[in-house]
Amino acid sequence: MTFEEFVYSRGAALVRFARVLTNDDDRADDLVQDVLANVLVKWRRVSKTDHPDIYVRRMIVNANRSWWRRLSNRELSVAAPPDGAAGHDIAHHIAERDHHWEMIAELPVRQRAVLVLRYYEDLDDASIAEILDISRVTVRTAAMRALNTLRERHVSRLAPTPRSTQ
Amino acid sequence: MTNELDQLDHRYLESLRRRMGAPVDTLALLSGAQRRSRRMRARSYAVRGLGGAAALAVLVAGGAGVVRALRDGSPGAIVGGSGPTAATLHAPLPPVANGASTAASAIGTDPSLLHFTVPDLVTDSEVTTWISVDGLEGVGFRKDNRWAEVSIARSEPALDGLRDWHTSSNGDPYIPGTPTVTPPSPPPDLHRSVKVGDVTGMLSSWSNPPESAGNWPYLRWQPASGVWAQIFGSFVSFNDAQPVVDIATTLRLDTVYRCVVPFELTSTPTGARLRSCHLSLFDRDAGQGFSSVLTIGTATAELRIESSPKRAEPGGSPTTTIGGHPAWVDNSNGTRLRIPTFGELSLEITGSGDYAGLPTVKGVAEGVHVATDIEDLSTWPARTIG
Repeated sequence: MTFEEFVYSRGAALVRFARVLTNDDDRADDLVQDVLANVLVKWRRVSKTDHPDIYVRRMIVNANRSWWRRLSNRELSVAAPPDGAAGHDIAHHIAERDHHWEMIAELPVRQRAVLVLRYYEDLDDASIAEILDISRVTVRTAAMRALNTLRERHVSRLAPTPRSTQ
Repeated sequence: MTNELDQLDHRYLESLRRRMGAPVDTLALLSGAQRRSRRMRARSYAVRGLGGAAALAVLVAGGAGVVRALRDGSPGAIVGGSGPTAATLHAPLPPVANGASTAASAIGTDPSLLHFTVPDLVTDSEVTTWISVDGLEGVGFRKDNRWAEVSIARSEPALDGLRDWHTSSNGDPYIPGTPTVTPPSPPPDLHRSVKVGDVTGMLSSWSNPPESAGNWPYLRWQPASGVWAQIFGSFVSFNDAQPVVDIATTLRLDTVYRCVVPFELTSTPTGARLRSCHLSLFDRDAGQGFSSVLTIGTATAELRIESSPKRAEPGGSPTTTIGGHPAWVDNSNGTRLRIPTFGELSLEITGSGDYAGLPTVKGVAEGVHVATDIEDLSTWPARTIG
């Protein structure tokens, strides 16, 4: 497989993965381009690994960490979730969808990455562990915690907001 | 795996999918990665070039390339050291000598060598073509939809011989094998003198009136005693000389380059000698990486060996095999042997004149040794004929 073929076949998935990691589309594009530039320099070696895709994803994870540290380009907290509004119109549906994404975006990077790799990319725990440089147990734990957090936040969001008495 | 998910989880994951499913411009991603990689490599070369005494000597000789690499990150591979890596094929040819101005008598005498370059344009070019044939050497390039072909020779008549070739090529890359010793062209229809550095050049046109359809302006000047140079192409305007003069002033005669192709011929007919070497490198952003043509022969026989990245095999049964690779023979014009997949290469070998026999063509094909890595210019054989 040539580098070009790799990018054409896996590039979109890599960018999407980076979007989840960074929660910033522009930064994700930048991050993946940087990583792929590095990959290109040593493509002959990378292409001979058993799983180039996993290798490159791991590079993305590492680059995100180092870039994050280097630039102090910390993730910005998303705005507080809006109050749930009644109704089932399209606007509400979109708002719900955005809200769901915001809840996911508030998860720690590792948990977000596990969700993506496990439920979107359908990778097994061993591959996820290799990409994120963690144990399989940690993968399972991260997935469980991510889902639990989402459930808890959803429940708390639906709970009635106390009104101040006048 | 999804059993552990309840309906709520599915909603979150659907949101995640939607979020991730936004379109990704893979082409832009590839281009961006390639561009950054070139910058990284240029920085790497620059650092390497500045690191040791040997490299320092090269720095003195090829300083412009290094400075350029440091300044704007363009590939400055004339610095030497290890060659370009995979998918960085679009790099200048490897130099074989630096520093000394070429003797005019050497120009056009060895089709495996080129004695000049136009470094700024070569490094930024989308397509670069080098050709060296008996009596003539050329570099062609395309950039931002403009193109030019720069040629040098030891005499003006050799450059005159390019008229028909240039005016019928529509800017396509040089085609080797075209006779370069042709009857002199008619005198230029129009001309005016322009200054190229310290010397006076002549901006001319092969037709009349200027800037009309069919007008073919070119600049000709003498960059050194006994050396004639010519620039032809869309950079050349009869009314505005500055763009072509800017190119002309960057021509350098202080480095000798070797014309390389991604294979070596280890078996050639007795008496055959290299007659031309042609290589085109395409920017990887544009797709295909390279094409090359070697011609070898005598006064009465010629073999033309063309290569490009391997291709899909055509339909129909192969006529023969070469080293186990299916091959097709076409006898409509001499003998043409096509081998779509010869390792990583696609080869086409055409014999004519005394070399038109299939055994001769097959003999040459069986002796082709392909470079270790066709995407890595540094692994290409230094010699075209072993």
